[in-house]
Amino acid sequence: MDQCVAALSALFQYQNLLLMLLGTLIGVVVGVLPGIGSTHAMAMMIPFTWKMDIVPAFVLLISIYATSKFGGSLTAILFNIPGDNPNAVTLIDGFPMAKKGKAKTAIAASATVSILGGLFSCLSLLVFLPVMYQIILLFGPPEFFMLALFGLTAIAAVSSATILKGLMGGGVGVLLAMIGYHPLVGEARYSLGTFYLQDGIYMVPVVLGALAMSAAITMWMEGSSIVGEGVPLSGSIREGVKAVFNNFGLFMRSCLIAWVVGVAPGAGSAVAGFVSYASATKTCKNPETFGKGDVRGVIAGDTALHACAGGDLLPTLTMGIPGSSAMAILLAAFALHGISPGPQVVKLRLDLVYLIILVLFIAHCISVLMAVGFSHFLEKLTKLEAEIISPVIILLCLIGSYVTREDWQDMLVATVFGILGYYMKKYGYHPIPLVLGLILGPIAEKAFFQTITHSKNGIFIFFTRIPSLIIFLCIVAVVCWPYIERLYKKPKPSAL
Amino acid sequence: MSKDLKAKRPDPSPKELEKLRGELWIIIPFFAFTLYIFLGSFQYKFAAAVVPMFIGFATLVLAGIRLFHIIFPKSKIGDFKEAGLAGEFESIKDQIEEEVLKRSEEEPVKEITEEEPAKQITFREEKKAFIALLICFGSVLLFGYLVGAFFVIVGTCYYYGFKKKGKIFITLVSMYFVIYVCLYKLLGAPADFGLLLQPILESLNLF
Repeated sequence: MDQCVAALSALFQYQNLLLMLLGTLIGVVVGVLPGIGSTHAMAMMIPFTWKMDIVPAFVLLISIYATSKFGGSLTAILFNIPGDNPNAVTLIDGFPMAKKGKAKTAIAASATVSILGGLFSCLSLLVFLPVMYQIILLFGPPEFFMLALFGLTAIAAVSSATILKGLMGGGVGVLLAMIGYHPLVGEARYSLGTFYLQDGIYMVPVVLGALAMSAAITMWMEGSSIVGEGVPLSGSIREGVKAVFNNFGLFMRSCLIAWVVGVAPGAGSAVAGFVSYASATKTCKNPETFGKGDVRGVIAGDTALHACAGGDLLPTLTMGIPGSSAMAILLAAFALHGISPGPQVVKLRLDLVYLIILVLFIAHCISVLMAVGFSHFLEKLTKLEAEIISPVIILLCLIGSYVTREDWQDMLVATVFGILGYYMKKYGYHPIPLVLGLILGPIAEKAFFQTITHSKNGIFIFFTRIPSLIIFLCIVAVVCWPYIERLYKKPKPSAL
Repeated sequence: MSKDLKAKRPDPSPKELEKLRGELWIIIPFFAFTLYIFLGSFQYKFAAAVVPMFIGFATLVLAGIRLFHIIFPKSKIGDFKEAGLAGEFESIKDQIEEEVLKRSEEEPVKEITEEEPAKQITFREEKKAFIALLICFGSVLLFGYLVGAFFVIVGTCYYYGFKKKGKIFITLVSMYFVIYVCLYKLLGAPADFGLLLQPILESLNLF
């Protein structure tokens, strides 16, 4: 309770309130800009949070994370432009509704589920955080080792087109983490005689390069050709709000789907939105109206976009395993402020966790007001050329890489990983497993040695402890799933 | 059934072959890096070597069989067809989009899904973007972020031939505000004038 009060009092300090407003504004603006999402915006803010205290830094980053999706939904409904990949699901029914003269209804439904979905996210975090914490208290080094392996395999399975490409990316990430001094032996490995590599490859430039800079490069190449075709703001706000409460069962179902997808490492809100939409088309009455401007399509898709934030944050805060690329950036921010991601955050900085939950909800509400209020201004932003946005992102990523350690070699690392990330995406290797390997590699290595040093059974201790064994079985299930599925799936009849 | 299994594997299409060849940009660095880590692990004490040795070996095998598949595209080894959960989600997404397309036959497709054929990025565009990226890096490296950002924005605007000077001006002013005022003055980021400009400024006693 004391921690909750501390979080509240920290949030209501004027500079934190201002930062929350600023973060919300940035979130709404980047949500509207085609091709830029919360990951890029959070990455761009890294250099600005570097000198801040941890509380204002996280107020800014979480406000951006929470608010970027509604702006994207608004432009998807009004101008047929999804602000970010996840908003593509809003477009399916949102724009046809707007064309039918029900733009206000669609926006009101989207705004209502945004607020309620945000509330669900926060409540789910509040409920499951203590449960997860109690579970984590049972964990020792063998479980943390297994957990790191699980995070890697799960993210490889979820984020990449093929599981083996994901595992390869994760493996390379772990190997990158091996460069530099060994945490227990103190021996410098693979340093090539350079001082820079003796300290290891720093996480921040890799995260900024592989996740944000690579996306900016792609955007630069593709250029911008999206010009919005606006529709008049007509329809009824009351009808939209009412539609959400009339379909409350659908809303709750979408929330639960989104939460489960959010917890799965690497899945993110885009997956949550489409899975929830697919479920709605299968479970609702009159599914033939979906795609033709059915408000239930907007409710199902948008609810999932907002409700998955809780599930996304849970493994990040409790175990240090990011649920999405935005969470990987958040982990980099934790590292930047000297906090090891994982259970230590819940144990030592519970006030920060409560603050994150509060900001998540309040920023959701402010973003709805802001996006609806400034919708005409936001339309103009959708016409910004990618050629002007991309160098700004690249510059801020370079600056973010530099200012944290004042080493130009970090900028070089960010550039190299930017190019590598671009090619990885192009050929079906998502960069997230690589980034996660770099984050989890040292955790896994340390836990492995702690286990082996204190174990009387050698490596068998990993299989004799129940929690460790359960996590191991989960790893086996994730890796073997495609093969098991192949055994039970009937082969499709050949076209020939 | 057995006949089906023994059926000759169809030749990959030229497009598939081109994509596989392109993958060499990823596989060769991965293979070389994992080989270096794996072989290098033998020189360290056991405690420091065990993790890079095992993970290096596993990743080396994966990279090796993929490289084998790229060299011999007809082989099943290294085909990596096992779709993870992302593949499942992709198929759900495709299914939804297909259904939406079917249902909205009477309406123009573009207005519903905004599904346009994905723009094919040419090698020329890639080269152009990478050069631009390296120029960004070079400017910040040589002149520091305070001055380098200025060159990058002006250079980019003229490179893409923007006719409207207003856009350049607005971008410059906003970048100056964000970088100089917010980052440098308010947040106290380190003053940096790069590897080239800093010595010049120091020699002129301007820094």
